[in-house]
Amino acid sequence: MSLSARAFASHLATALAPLAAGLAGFQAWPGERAHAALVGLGAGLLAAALVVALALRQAGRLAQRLETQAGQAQASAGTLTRLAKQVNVSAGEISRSMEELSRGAGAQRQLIEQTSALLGEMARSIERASRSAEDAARSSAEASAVAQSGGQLAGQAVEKMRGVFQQVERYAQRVFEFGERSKEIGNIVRVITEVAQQTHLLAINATIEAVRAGEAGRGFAVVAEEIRHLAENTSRSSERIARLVEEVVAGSQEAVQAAQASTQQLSEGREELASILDALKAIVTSVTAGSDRVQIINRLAREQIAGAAETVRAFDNIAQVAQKNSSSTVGALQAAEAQSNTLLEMTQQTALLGQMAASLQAEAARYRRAEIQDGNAERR
Amino acid sequence: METPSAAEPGRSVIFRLGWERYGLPLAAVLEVLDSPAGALRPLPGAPDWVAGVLSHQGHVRAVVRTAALVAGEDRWSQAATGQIILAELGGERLGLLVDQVEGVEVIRTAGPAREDGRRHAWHHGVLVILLDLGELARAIDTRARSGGQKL
Repeated sequence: MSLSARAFASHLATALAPLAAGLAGFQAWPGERAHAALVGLGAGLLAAALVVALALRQAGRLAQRLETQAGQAQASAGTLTRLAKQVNVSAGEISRSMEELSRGAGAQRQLIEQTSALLGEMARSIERASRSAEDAARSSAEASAVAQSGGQLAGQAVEKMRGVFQQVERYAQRVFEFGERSKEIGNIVRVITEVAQQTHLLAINATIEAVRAGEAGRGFAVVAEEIRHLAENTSRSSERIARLVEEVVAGSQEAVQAAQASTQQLSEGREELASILDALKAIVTSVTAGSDRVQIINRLAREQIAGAAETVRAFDNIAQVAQKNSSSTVGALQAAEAQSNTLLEMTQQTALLGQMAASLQAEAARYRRAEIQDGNAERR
Repeated sequence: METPSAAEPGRSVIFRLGWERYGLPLAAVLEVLDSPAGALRPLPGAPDWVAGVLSHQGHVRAVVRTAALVAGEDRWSQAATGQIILAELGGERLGLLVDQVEGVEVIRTAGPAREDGRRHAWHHGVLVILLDLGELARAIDTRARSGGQKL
């Protein structure tokens, strides 16, 4: 269809000429009306041929413009195709990057989940440690209370021991005083014994003198004999008392020695109790310090638990963000793929458009060449 | 002073030498004295049976160890303490050192003399050896002569 407008009009006139002749042949057709109609038709066709010729002329200019525009469109289509290809390449790269990003986001999410799980485990461990620390604090507090109670009891025991010690000392002092009094009694008894012995001796001598006096001393001899008997009884009683006093003195000495030994032992016991008291005080101090330390550990563990919980929450948030990022990456990947597909389709359509523009340009060019040839032929 | 016979029971001064009790006729006894430590002074060069001398009422009296005379020297190691019976033997006044004078008793039941010539009596369930003053004086004389000394 590489026909110029003018040639087309000429051909159209040539084709229409027989038709006009035919129509003129039909002048025999009955009726003016038909004749007029046919004449009108021929005129119309001529007018149409003229209009078509004019249109073809305009079409020639249009074709020229079309050729130009088709060339431009073809160039644009090429540029577009190139750009689309570039975009497609970039979209592919983006897609690959997005895939890598998605994979990275997945790995990151897994790592975050693992880290979160580890942190959770660590938090549970810290919680267990905290519970152990609480138990230890409780035990430590109980031990401290027990040690303090023991210290108080030991102090009371020491006070009681002091009381017993003083009582034993008083008892020993009284026994000692009793022993001294017994010695005094012994001295008195010794004097009585000596007096009795002297009396006995005097009675013997009185008896001797009475016997020597004969009848005159008979009564006196009886009295002297009675005195001697009394002196003997006194002497025997004094001896018994002296023995008893010796036993009492010996007993009191033993009692004093036993009391002194008890006092010594009590003194040692008091020193030991004082040592025990000091040891208990040291234990109380140590246990209290330990309890304080355990409480500090407990508080630190609680703070660690709180920190770990916050860390877990932060990691959960990070995981959620990573999840969203992953989802967004997947969405972006899908969008990039869709965009890539669209670009591909657009590239194809652009290529098709380029082909169509090329065909149109070729047709317009042929049309232009035919028109130029027709013009040259007419001018010749 | 008349010296009563040892064979006749009568008043006797009962004294103790160790575990043995002796009876000395009261007629020979002048006085009984205490002999506290220091009162009896030893006599240098005197035989063992002489305990020492005693100053009594302005007189110096010799004191003999009665145990050495009546019981043998080796049997008693009589101490210089005890009591002294001031007696008169053979016209001499001397002191008889005894452990303890227990009293003046009337010995009513004297038994027969033993082989050594001494008589014994049971008094209140206790055996009492009744000393013969003549025998005692002879013993002192014999020892004084054999020792070359005279009291």
